[in-house]
Amino acid sequence: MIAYRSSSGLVGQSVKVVGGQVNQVRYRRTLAYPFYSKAGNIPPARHGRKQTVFKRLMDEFLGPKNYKGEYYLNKYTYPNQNHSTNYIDPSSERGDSLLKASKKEETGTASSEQGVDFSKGSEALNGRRRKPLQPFPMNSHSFTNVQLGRETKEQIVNDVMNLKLSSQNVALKYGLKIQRIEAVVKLHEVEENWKKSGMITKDLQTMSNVMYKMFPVYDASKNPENLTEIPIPEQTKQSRFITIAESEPFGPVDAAKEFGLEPAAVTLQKLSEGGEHSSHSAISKGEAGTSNDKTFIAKMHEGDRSAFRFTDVKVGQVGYRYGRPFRDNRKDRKIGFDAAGKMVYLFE
Amino acid sequence: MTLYQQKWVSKQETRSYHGEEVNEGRWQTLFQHKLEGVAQLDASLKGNVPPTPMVLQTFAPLEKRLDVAVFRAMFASSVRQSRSFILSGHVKVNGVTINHPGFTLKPGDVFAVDPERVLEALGKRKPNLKEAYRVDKFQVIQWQKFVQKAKDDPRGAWQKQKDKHRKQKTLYENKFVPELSDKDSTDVNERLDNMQELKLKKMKEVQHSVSRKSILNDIYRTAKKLVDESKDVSSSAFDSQFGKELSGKCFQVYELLENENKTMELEPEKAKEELGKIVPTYKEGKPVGEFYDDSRSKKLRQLLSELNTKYLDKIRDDFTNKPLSEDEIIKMWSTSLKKHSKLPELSEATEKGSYYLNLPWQHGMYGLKDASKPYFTPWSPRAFLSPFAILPKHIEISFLTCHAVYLRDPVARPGESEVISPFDEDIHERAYMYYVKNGM
Repeated sequence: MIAYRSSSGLVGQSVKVVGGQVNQVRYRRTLAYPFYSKAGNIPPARHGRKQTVFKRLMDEFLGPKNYKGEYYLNKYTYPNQNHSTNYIDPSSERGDSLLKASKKEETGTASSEQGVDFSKGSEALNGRRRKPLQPFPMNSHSFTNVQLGRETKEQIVNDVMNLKLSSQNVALKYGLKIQRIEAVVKLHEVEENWKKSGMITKDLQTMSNVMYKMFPVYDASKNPENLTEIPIPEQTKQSRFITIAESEPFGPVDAAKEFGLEPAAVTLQKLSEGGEHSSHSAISKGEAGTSNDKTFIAKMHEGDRSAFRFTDVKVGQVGYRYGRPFRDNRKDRKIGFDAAGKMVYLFE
Repeated sequence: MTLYQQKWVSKQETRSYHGEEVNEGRWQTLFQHKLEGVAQLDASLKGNVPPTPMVLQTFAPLEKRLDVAVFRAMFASSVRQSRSFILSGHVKVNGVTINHPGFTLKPGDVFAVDPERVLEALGKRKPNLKEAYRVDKFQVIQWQKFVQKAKDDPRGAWQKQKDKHRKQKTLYENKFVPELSDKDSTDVNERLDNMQELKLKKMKEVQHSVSRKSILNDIYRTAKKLVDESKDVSSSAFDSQFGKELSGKCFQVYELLENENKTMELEPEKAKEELGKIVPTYKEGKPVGEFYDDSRSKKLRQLLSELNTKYLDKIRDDFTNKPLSEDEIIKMWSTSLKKHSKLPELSEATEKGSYYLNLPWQHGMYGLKDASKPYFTPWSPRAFLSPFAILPKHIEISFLTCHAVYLRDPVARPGESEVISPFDEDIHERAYMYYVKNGM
């Protein structure tokens, strides 16, 4: 880990600030000693060996090893199995990461059984505020997802497949995005197929159980997904200037008109229309196979050896125009993939 | 630090995490200066909505790549590993094997990784034979010592084991520690439950062994012992085996034997013969060999029949009502412990490729129960898995089948970004400034 100098304003909470350097050096990099490694606080070297401070701190963090080579006393070695996260929080533990039977409450993990709110909102613990869903201590904007419980998944599948509810309705019912509903149904289908064909081994089952118990479970009443999210319109990502009279009122509606935006409700409606199980879907309405891309096989005449298929394409999507620069020896050309998974260079 | 230095260092730091395996040139073709974010329509209702960290989307285009998505779905332990899985043909997208780590995923794509690879990535490292042997040798030595101790001092060893289990239970509460199984439990109640079946079996065994003949023999043996010690035989002599209620009947039997037959004064072998004549063995409903058919013997036989039925009831009651005491459990436990056979020499084991191992907590070689698998068997999670396990918001995962659905490209929303990154806004902001190159 590298420490930035304090003047840059980049110094994170776990990075040690090093005083200003006067000399001109090629790399302005300083060793990032943890903030808690003060002079009197550095653990002794093991077995009287010659060890650097980093090694000593690492040994202190990892704790003792057993005969299998596991750091059996470190609280991060074995995964939690009570639907709680187990993220490293250096500011609270200050390098002391060993399991203590007596001080269970101080581990700072929260389980869903205890009814702790897993929303991003911080939670007071030991007079310090921490977020159980935040995996990286230095990034306060990144959070792990919560997984769907087994019962919730089964209910969703039942609603969609048996009760034939549209994905929009199910999404509203459980407070989940439509794509996630569709994905749950898709994955359930795969799981059923695997179970039928006996492809789920004992090891796979164990792994799946361990992973399931490692993450908090979604609770619609506590932290539902926001279903009113729309992508920020492309047009508004850059500034536009117009001249108006000083007295003329100018509000969001006028701005939308200026950008030529449709009302957000319309966008939201459009977003919810995709998906196989949507109430707008062609398949659910029984109109499968009515696409308007024109493809036909030409009539064969006597003596023809092959049938020709004609497909409608746009000019520019196929082939290249005469006179257009075409640098096929350029570095890092844009790539795409065809249906068989073969890489093709895209025309730019 | 000048602004450019800040931008440079930030770019260095972020790029060493985001798409470190992607060349700078390739990355710059992927970079988009317009970042993806979402607006929440109910924001005005909520009020006090935190700002959207848009700059955290700087590396969002990388998340569309197949190698990054496989890593984010936790099917590989690093992007480098996921690349190797993809290049070796273990990854499928919508059922088609894709060999390109740079494959761009579209919303709704289903990708799947070979379960063996996933188990390898999430599981402990498979040891080689030498490592497994070293661990097992140690385990076997410790086990032999432990068994010896338990045989020498069952109660002490039991107590020590009990303390250890209690300590481990509190220490590893809510943790997945593969070796801590309930099989070796020292919890008395738990053991009792486990023993219920064993008890029933034992009861059946005892009941099968009881017959008129065996009862008669038992009475004779008890009485003979007392007679030999020249003590008086009373009904209380039969209390310990038959109980207070049946001892009177037993005494009657004894009296009949003693007074009219003088069986007690005979040599043990002759007495046995005599007893055999009183209660003969039956074959197809008919007695075999010589037997007495006088009224005294008939009375004896009748008494014994009554005794038999009542004694069977008593055995059943004893087994169901009387719980096993801790002493008995400890005794059973210490006798059930068996030393392990000696491990062969390492050279012998390497030549053969395996060795026999069967310990209460581990059946088969350490981590090599199924040596054909590329991962530690039986599967157990990698150490330090949980602090690095982050469920992505833009991918829905099924670990059971090692399939995942790419829901959408990651976006930023008020207060959070779906791009998983250890760096916060300030560093991403400068990295973004480095790449937009618009004199920012």
